[in-house]
Amino acid sequence: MPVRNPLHFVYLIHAISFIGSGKWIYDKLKLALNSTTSDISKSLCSNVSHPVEWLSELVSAANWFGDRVKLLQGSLTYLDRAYLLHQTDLRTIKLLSMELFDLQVFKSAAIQERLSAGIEAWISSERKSGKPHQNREIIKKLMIVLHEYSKFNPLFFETFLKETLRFYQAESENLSGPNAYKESPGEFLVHCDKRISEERQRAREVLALFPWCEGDIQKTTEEALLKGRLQWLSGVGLENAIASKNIAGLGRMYSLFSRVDGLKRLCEEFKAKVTASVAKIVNDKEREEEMVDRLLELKGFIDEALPIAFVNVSISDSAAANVDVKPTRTTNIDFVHAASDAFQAGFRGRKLKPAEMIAKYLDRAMRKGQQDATTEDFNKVMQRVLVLYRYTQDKDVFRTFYHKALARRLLTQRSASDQSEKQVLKILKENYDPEFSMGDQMFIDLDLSDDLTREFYKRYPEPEAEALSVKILQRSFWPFVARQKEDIRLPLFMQDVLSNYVNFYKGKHENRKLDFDHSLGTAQMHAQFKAGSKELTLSLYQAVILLMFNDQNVLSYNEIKENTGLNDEELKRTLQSLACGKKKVLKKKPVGKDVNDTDEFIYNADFTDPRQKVHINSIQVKETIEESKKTQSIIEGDRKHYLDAAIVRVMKAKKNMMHQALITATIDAVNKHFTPDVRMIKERIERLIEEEYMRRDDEVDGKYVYVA
Amino acid sequence: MIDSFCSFTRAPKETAKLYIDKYLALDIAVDAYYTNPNEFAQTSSKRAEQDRNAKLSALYEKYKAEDPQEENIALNGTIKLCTDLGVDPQDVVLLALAYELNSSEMCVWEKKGWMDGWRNLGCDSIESMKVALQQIRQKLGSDATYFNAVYAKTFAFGLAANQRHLALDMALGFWQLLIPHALAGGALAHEDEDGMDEDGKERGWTDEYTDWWFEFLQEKGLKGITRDIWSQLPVFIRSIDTKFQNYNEDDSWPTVIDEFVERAKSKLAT
Repeated sequence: MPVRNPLHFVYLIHAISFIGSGKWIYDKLKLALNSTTSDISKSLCSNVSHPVEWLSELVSAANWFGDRVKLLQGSLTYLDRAYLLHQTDLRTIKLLSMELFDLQVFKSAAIQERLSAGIEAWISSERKSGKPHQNREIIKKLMIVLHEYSKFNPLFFETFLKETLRFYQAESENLSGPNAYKESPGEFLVHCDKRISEERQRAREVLALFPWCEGDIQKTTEEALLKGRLQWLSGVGLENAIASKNIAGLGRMYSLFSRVDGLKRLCEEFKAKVTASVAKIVNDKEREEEMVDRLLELKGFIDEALPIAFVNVSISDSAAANVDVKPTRTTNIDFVHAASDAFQAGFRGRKLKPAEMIAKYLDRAMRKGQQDATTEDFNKVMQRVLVLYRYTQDKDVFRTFYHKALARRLLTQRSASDQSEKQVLKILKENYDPEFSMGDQMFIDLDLSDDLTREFYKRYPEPEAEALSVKILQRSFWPFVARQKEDIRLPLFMQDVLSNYVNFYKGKHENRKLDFDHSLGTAQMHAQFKAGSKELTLSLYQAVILLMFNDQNVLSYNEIKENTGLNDEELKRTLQSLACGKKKVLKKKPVGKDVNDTDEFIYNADFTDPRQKVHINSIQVKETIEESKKTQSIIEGDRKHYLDAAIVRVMKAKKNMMHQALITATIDAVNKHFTPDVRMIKERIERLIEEEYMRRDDEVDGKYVYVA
Repeated sequence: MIDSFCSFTRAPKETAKLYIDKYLALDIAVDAYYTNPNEFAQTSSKRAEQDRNAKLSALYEKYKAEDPQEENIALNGTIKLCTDLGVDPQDVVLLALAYELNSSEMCVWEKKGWMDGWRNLGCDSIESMKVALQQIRQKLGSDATYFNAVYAKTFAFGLAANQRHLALDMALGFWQLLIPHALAGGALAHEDEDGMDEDGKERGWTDEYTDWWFEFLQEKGLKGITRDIWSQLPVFIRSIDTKFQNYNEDDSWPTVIDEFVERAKSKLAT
């Protein structure tokens, strides 16, 4: 220590105090303390040690001074207790000495500057190295001194926080830059997490005397690191986290954002990113077939992430006392809504197609059936797909495609299980669209048909009759348009049986009109090949053609065409399935993949197949493009009728109406089926004005009047 | 006796003659005159009427004679009429005249319409007709109500038999005549709610926009114009500002006008 002031004179004043000159002694003491502290101050100012070591000098000086003051207190107990205590304008020795030390040392600008430099040097060193400073003990001792003088806040903590803010702001700036984590905000957040726990750890270890400051330090650190980065983090960060299905990353973002008051922004950004992801999937024309799978995957991830990543953790008061009780975790409902809104918005990115793809996805699933899955799991999958359906605005598109596929499944007996079909229809009808009740009618038709067929067998107990099974479908419940006239010409024996059936049916329902659609028919027949007999299941078209080869071994394309009366397109497709597919029951001359008008066909006696029952696949009409276009245009037409009807209904009820109100009422009226765009409604209104269902009001612009 | 009648009553000689001829005695005739001095007035205006009808009828027959096989004045008659009246057959005033004479289709003038129409206009000679045409041309350009009436009539007038839509080239032809005329005269002037002209610049529709409208319709390939589009166009023209800023697509405008405004806005932006 530099200052070793002559304290011998205190003994002197000790003696004097007895003779009643308290004030004199006090003055002498004050002078002595003043010069001592002043010397300490000077000595500290002129000390040139390293900033952190300088802190050590400060601590020693303060401690030395403290010791001396204790000594004084001991020697001058009488002065302190008997005299000073009763003098209101004079301080006790302890207070006086502290006041003077404060005045001379702590209030000195130069000392404050060195002190700040020391703190900064220490904390920077720890932060840069990531390790405790070798002289960390000095800091702990400094804390005791500052605690004693009540100087922690102004002399240490303010500087500390300022430095913390400065340091982490700079670090955040650097680390989010192009040479660091610019592309991987997730890693940046990992780093932030590490920094925050380092700071808290340090606060607990070094600043234990001031436990309240841990929270302040954490807050400052978080804000410094994150405040300016929110946009980048929520933007790039969310995108990466969603793309890489990083739930932990999302959770980290959520908890960090929640601490810097950034949840609103995070939620908005989350919604935007999910919307964009959904829109991207539904608009990916090259991967349309995978659309639904990809949507399900995304939905699955979001559903999984919501209750893990986007949760508020809270500890209830009663639980706080009990360490074992887990804190309650509640999913942030804003994010749940955001996810749902985002899916809806994303679906809006593409019209019609998503609804169609969902219907087709379900069709495949229903054909496959639940297989090894439990009923429960199967239903879960169905439910998930149907949730996607909820997001589309084109409910009518879904219904049309689903209906068509359902009809086809039921008639060609391709559905895996009636039970599942009914189950899904029930869900659709009850939860989504009451019009799915047509499914019930379809099943009723099929059941009635079976009853009728059984009755028919009783009436005509002959083998030919019993080979026939007819499905009577009411046109209004089935999605097929009436067949064009030129259906296949059936062989006589078939036609006879069918005529019997028609007579039988007319006997029961005289006024009903029956139209047959053989293109939907199926047949089973026995066929003899060299290798033995096979049981073939095929389409009725295929069967009729094959039957012709009972009489003749070779037939030309034109002969077959003549006999069947099929048009070229259907005939070629059918012949192709028999002679050019995997299972060739006919041979074609010349051999080739396509069927030409000049080809000849020969019964293939050499046909073999490992199975006894052989199914010959039909070649499906290119359903994907042409037919779905056709269906789409049917839907478009239906929508126009729907809108016309809705507008007329509304106008009829209200007699006259303003434009906006009519638009709103019309949207409401059709909303369950689809969401029309306003321009389409306007076009329909124009059309109805043209057709004189309504007119514009003569007086008021934008008002319509119903024309009875 | 007539002179005596005149000196008593100061009535003109023709009147005196009518009374004397009817009542024979002077005192009875004078008495009758004082009781009802207008007894023969109607007859005289009736005569003038008959006179006018005869003139109009003669004119009608004259022009009808140009197309002897037709029931009404037809194409050649119309051309002759126009020549006599000193107007181009393509003059916008003929649309107003078609309205006045209630002509059912182009270049066809029915007798009833001809008679009633000219009579309403107070005409019975080519000279008076020329004057009337000047007046209705001017009125068509400046009087919004009159313009609306002629404009509405023009649609029906231009429809081909059993058609609901006005063929596009017809519509364009009519607009070409009507819009510039009414813009210049004020019948299609911009209706501003506050009536203020902020920057002193021209407000509302211009002839250039008429060209844009034509261009747009031709490119769009519309075949016909519905009555609704036809009747909404003048409303639109009167309401729109020069920059199309006050246009609201959510209002009840026909969608064709929505599309036109989109086009016009993007044109203005470039």
